[in-house]
Amino acid sequence: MKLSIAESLRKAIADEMARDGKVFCIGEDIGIPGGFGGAFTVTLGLEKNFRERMIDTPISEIGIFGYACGAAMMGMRPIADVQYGDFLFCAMDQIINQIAKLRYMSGGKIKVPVVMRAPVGVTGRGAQHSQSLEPYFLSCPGLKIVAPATAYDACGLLKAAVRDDDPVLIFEHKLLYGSKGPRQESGTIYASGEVPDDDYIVPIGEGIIRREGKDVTIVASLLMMHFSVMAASILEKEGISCEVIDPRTIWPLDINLIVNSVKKTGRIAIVEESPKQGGIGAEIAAQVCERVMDYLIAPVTRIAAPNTPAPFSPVLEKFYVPQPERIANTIKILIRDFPT
Amino acid sequence: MIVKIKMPQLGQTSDEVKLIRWLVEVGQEIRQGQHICEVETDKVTMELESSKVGKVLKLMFEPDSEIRTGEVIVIIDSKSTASSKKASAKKPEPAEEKITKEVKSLSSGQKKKILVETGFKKAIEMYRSMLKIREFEEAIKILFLEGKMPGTIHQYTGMEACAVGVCSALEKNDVIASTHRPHGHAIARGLSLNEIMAELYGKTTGCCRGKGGSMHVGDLEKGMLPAIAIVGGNLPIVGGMALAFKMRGEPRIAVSFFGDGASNEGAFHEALNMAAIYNIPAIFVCENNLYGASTSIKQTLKLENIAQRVCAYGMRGDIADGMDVLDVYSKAKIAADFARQGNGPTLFELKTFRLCGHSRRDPCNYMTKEEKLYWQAKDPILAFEKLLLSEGILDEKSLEDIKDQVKKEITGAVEFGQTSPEPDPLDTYSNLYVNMEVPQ
Repeated sequence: MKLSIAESLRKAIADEMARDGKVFCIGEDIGIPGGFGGAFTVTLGLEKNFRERMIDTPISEIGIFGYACGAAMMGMRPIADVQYGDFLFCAMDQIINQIAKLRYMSGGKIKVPVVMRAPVGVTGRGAQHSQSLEPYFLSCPGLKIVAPATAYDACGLLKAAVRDDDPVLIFEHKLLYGSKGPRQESGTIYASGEVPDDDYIVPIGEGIIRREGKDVTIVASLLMMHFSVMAASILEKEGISCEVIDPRTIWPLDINLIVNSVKKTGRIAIVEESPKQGGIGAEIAAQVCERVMDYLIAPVTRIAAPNTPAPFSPVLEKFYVPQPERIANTIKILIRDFPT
Repeated sequence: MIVKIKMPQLGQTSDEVKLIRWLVEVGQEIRQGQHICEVETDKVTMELESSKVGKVLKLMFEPDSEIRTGEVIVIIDSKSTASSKKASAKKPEPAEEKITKEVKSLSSGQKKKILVETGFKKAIEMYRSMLKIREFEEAIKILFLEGKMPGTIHQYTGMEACAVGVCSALEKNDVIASTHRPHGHAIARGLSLNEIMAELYGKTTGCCRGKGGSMHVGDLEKGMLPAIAIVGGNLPIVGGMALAFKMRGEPRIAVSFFGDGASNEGAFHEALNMAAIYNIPAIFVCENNLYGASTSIKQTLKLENIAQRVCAYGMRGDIADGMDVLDVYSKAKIAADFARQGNGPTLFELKTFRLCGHSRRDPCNYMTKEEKLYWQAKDPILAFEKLLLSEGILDEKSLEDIKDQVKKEITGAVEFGQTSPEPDPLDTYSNLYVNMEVPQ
């Protein structure tokens, strides 16, 4: 059946709660009858069938993630939820010091199977409701990080996350949800797709080639993956063939998929919606250089947001977020300057 | 209204007590909790508290009478005078009174009563556990000063009654969480001295396989989460553990130990508010030792008692003398029963003191000499030892035996810690993920 990402995530949560009585949701505004179903409608209506397992909280992010951590260690399977990824910072102690480290500190005796859902992306809300937070968590061993860009992956990765015995952060993009009604986002990119009725998972740690090509490898997640595919279509008309890789999992990174593509194309551009400094692109660039420097015929290229907070003005915001045209132009120049 | 006070069940073995003397007289106004008479059971003498408020109309027995459980001993008029009405109208709720007033030490009669209820065997185990903590801390202090032990330590010396009193009130399936000062909790919860000592040495035989160290000792299988060394960090986690018990309908409780300093963290507020809302089976045990590192609580808190903060959450609060293991134990038991029966969480404040530095090599120059002497005089182990001797529960010989056994156990643990194998450096990569190697 054809579902939006919000619907696909909702289906995954409902399926998992039906499958396993230990799965529950904890977050703000998630199960209030007549409420929002979370900030972007993902949990809308789930309280009808799972009243006891939709734990609505006060506005207390430390509480949400701390309670999820404790419940997980006692054998539950919590899905903790923040309205905007930016609010994860309120709960950083619980996520970084507790959830990510308790298993290690215990000498491997404890499991902390928490799923943490966080919406990201620059969407007309200024600097504090816009950040892509992957880089902050990328440097924290103990977490797994996934970022689904399609409805199929959203359902499959969320189910994989719930069934995983380790803590998993799932970053979802506000412009990809396809949320309907009053919670609809302007500027939404169409990301609905077929989601099978049958149970399936998308394994954590496996990237996917969204578009095959031979001249350059583009690595991008979430909204940037969709923009990169659009850029590839623009470039195709100019005779440039792009291979677009969606890592789907940010950590552990499917570096082999990326490296094998670079061996073929000799060029790589990493596109990200967060500032360039200390970003995902830096990590991927370093890993590619460590492994396949000899294959590169052009410098590794990062296409990212400026090293500033996200501005509000729509004009500035459009400049801030890498647009398909900017991605295409950067790659065109790369190939012009470093021809085969 | 005429009400009768009956003789409660006092001893575990006998239904009969002897009245020694009355402590009130006919016509006297008495309040709830006031001592009305002294009685003698087959084991101890104790003072009996009034369960009612009012004016004494009649005392039913003469001194030296034998009184059976359930017999009426005093008749009172519960609404006798206008003045008592006025007083009771002004009187705050009992719960509020309990958390705003100064904490009084237990009377000797109350202590004896709790001793009887506790059972002598358990009381001796509580003593042994406190002694183990003290001797463990003394032993590792020397090892640190001699440079034989790695890392840093935060010691529990002087606070032994807190951990032992609370843990003695718990069941096997309950779970506790501790802080950067966790040795006492680990010992009180029943982790072996060997596995704790080996963890301090960073050995593979340690309770966390050498990955945790002093500030993270614990073993969930034995009912103790690896200690959380971020101040206030364990409170929401304990809330989550209790939430899991409640969601599954299990008769278990979760207990958070934390210090006075943690009560000023945001995590304290969020955890307690949510605990109250969800009415979860948890006890939040605040060991108020009056100092956050070197800063006096007088500089960081305007309130007399941390337990007063329950008023902000609509939660039960209680306070005990943290230097008296019996007071801690009896009130912890009430909080544990309260939680286990589904009535919700308690913030349980223990008035205590570090008879040692904040961390190693801290000479405590920020404390006055008088203050140190005052608290040294309340040493919980010496006080309990004295009580056990005076009540004839232990004699000098059995006391010496216990001390010898504990010393031997500590020596064995040091030996075990020192001789256990070091981890392989490549062990760094193990124990992070359940089903994944650490990506290189």
